[in-house]
Amino acid sequence: MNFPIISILIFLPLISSILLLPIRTKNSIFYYSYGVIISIINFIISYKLILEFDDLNSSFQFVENYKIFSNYDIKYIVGIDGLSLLMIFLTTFLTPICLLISLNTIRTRVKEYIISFLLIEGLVIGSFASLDLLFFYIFFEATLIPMFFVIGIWGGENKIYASFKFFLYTLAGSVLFLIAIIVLFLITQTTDISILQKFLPKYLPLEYQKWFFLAFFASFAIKVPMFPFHTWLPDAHVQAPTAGSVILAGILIKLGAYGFIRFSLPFFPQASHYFSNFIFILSVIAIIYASLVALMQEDMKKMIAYSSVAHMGFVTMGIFSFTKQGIDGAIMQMISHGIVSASLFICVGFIYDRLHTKKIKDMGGIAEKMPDFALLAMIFMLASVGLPGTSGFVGEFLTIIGTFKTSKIIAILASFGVVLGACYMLWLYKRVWFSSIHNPNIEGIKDLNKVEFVTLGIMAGFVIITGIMPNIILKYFNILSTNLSYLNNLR
Amino acid sequence: MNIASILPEITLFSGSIFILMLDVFLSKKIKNTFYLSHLLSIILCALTILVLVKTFYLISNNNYFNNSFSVNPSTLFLKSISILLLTLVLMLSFSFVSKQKYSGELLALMMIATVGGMIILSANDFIVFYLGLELQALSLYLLSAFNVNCRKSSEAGIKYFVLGSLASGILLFGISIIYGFSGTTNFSTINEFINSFEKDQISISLIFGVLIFITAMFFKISAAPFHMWTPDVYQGSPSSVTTFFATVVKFTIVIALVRISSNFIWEIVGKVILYISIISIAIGSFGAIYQKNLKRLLAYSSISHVGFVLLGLSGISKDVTFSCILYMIIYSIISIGTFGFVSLIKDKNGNENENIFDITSLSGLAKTNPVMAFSLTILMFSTAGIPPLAGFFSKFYILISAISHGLSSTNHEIFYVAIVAIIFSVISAFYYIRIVKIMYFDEPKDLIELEDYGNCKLIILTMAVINLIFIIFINPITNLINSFIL
Repeated sequence: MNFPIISILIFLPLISSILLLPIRTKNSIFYYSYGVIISIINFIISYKLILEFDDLNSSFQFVENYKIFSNYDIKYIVGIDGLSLLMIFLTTFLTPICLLISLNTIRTRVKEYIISFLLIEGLVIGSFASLDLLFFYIFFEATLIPMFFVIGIWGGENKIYASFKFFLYTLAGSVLFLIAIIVLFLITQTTDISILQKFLPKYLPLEYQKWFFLAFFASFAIKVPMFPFHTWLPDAHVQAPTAGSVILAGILIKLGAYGFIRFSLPFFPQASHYFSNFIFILSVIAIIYASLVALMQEDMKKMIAYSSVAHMGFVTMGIFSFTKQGIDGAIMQMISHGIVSASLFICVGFIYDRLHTKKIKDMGGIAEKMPDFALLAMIFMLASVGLPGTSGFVGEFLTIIGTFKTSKIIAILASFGVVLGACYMLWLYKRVWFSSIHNPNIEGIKDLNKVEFVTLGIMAGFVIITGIMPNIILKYFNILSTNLSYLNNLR
Repeated sequence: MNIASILPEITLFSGSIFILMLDVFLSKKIKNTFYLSHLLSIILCALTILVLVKTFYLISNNNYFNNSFSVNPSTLFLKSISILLLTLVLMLSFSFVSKQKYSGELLALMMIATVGGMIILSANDFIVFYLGLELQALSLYLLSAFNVNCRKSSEAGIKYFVLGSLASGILLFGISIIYGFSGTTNFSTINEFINSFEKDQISISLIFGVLIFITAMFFKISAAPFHMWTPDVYQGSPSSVTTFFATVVKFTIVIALVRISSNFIWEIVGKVILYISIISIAIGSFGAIYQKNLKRLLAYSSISHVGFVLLGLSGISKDVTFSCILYMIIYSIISIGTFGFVSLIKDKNGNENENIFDITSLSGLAKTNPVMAFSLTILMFSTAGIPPLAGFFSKFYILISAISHGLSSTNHEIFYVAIVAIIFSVISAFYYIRIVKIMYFDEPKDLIELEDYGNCKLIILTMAVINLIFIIFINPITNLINSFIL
């Protein structure tokens, strides 16, 4: 356990991005290959982590502990359990893909682009792995800076508005989180998560828990994003470059749900119960409202962004059902959505590269000209709908079962969301891939090249394998979800 | 022994007089070829630091001159920091000084103002404090009007002089009331006098006197609603002088206030400071949104920073001094970078004029000068308090001391004020990242040129790097400050 494998995962991308700063060459291939190599090394390390991980051990593994603050008991502690392991794996998996798919599209300021993505990778891994509340906050907040640049520099025509909205929304939520962290620290004199998890549920009275819960909620609900706080997401997604959307939908918004599972639930179980109906209602509104809004979108990216809001509604619903199935389903849905929405954004990106439009009305008949692409896109569409046999099904099914145990009416309403999901996704598929060709640009369109095909193929394989054998993922957080569902008894 | 205690001040003061004389007698040619007075002044700063270190070994924690001048490790440490800041300011003002007709006077005035700052840092008596403050203020009036050909500069000088003298008058009024009710002007004696009473028996007039005194200090540190002069003076003064205002001057006065107020903070005074702090943060945050001029924007930002220090100050807990000093050190580091950057901005002919300080003139800086754009970006995010940069930790420590006071005392006002303050800091983040946006997202306009003095850019880059790597060295730095303060 002496080998600091987690710190290497965090600091390899951070340091290598800093090393890139003084380099001045116009050769964009150099930057891309540098970024891809670093991120693939990171992927290999995280794969090694999966091999060495013991999924029957309930405590945190690979823990590293260094004292940073002398006058306060705030330490740099990193370590992982099953949930963080999978999220880290997802991050290291998506980062090289992000860089590969932008190879042909991003030609300006490539150096800054690579630096931003490596920074995001390192910081996100840091927030998933940190076992200290303050360090989680530091990593969590710091991701704003590179993401601000990604949207603002390489974004679409309204990029400045979107980047400011993204930055200020998230910052506004997390300052309350910071206050809560400071107060918690002053009460308990520590920010160590494993200690807080042990003592807070027992000793913190409900009336205080409520305030802490709301402060944490402000930050995570904006990040997830939950219903009334979701308005930054469609703007950010539409304006961000493809890879930016992938990282945003695939990883960054998972930080919010991760925060709920890691902090809100175990720290403040009574308050979580107290607010669970409130969150159920917000989640169901998110599922149904976002699906209806998605139905009416004319921009493909905006539609997928709204579908993200709906899918994350399932996640929050599952988490606050306080049942093993619900939490299992929520985590499964997080991972599945991470892959599926990322691939859907990649699909839109591929179409945009060829046609330079994201409007649905300009599409039609792409399947005729791009059969390989149509097949792969179909898999992702169906996974997003939640067809049995894909990863999307497992997540949605388990969350609905879990919620049904707690609140029948909410579960029934949420299952309408599944139907609506099928409506907008299949309708989208029909309008874009089938129907007749009326845009002359589509006549000359070329099918996927090898890199693109392999990228999407790997992701499609992942979707199907985890759909058929969900246990290869579920086993990692079996213990975590069981422990969390026991919190039900603390009521 | 008395003389030895003020040896650093004597060194800096006599040195600056020497430079002043030298400037009169040397021919212009020699001065311009060797930057003689400039180099001498930097050497003088180094010498003063050596003397400070020497004094540290000679003298241990004592008061001199009839108990009116305290010299201890803490004051020596703070003095060395202000000298270091002065050195950096002098290095940054290299080109400005060499273009001046009266370069010797400029340097001498800056150093004499710093001597005033050093005196107020170790003052243990109201009279000494007042003398130090006036020594500093009189030099500053002259400095802000130094650009004689520029009307804005003269305006700044006169405005600063009139309002500053008024504040000095109010200060003296407060001191005289305190003297009238305690019979002494010595801090330690006043402190004993106050402690001899029960908490609620302190004469209301004495509290009144302290409030008047603190009001005048609010003017000097430019806390709202006594901030009106700040944007005008910051804008009108030559950029190098503005850098001096925002770093050395602000550092010494704020720290002096922090040191003094440890004697006088009672519930009611703390409350006044608390409200002043939230007003300052609000006015600093909202005022800056509408500013088009970079210098005015930074002036408003400095108002909101003062608000944060006051927020920490209003809590009476043991690590108040530590968190305020850390905040001011980090703020000065950031200011050296930002104001130093501003002082590099010149138009295409290498002159300063009003239009170049418009924030849109920075547009596209990331393409024309990536290193400076990177440094300024780091500094801006740091000022906005985004982790993991140093600015986050300065706010973090202030919030810890403020909130811990709010939780422990009976009234929780300070706790709610802390929440409001941090929400305002989100608003102020807007205009900091707007500067980043202008540099990175907009197309270059090619209106300005950054003066190419290698070491200036190096200094600004260094300040940015310090902000970036602060998190690694947070332990040694906090230990260092703690060991000197306690």
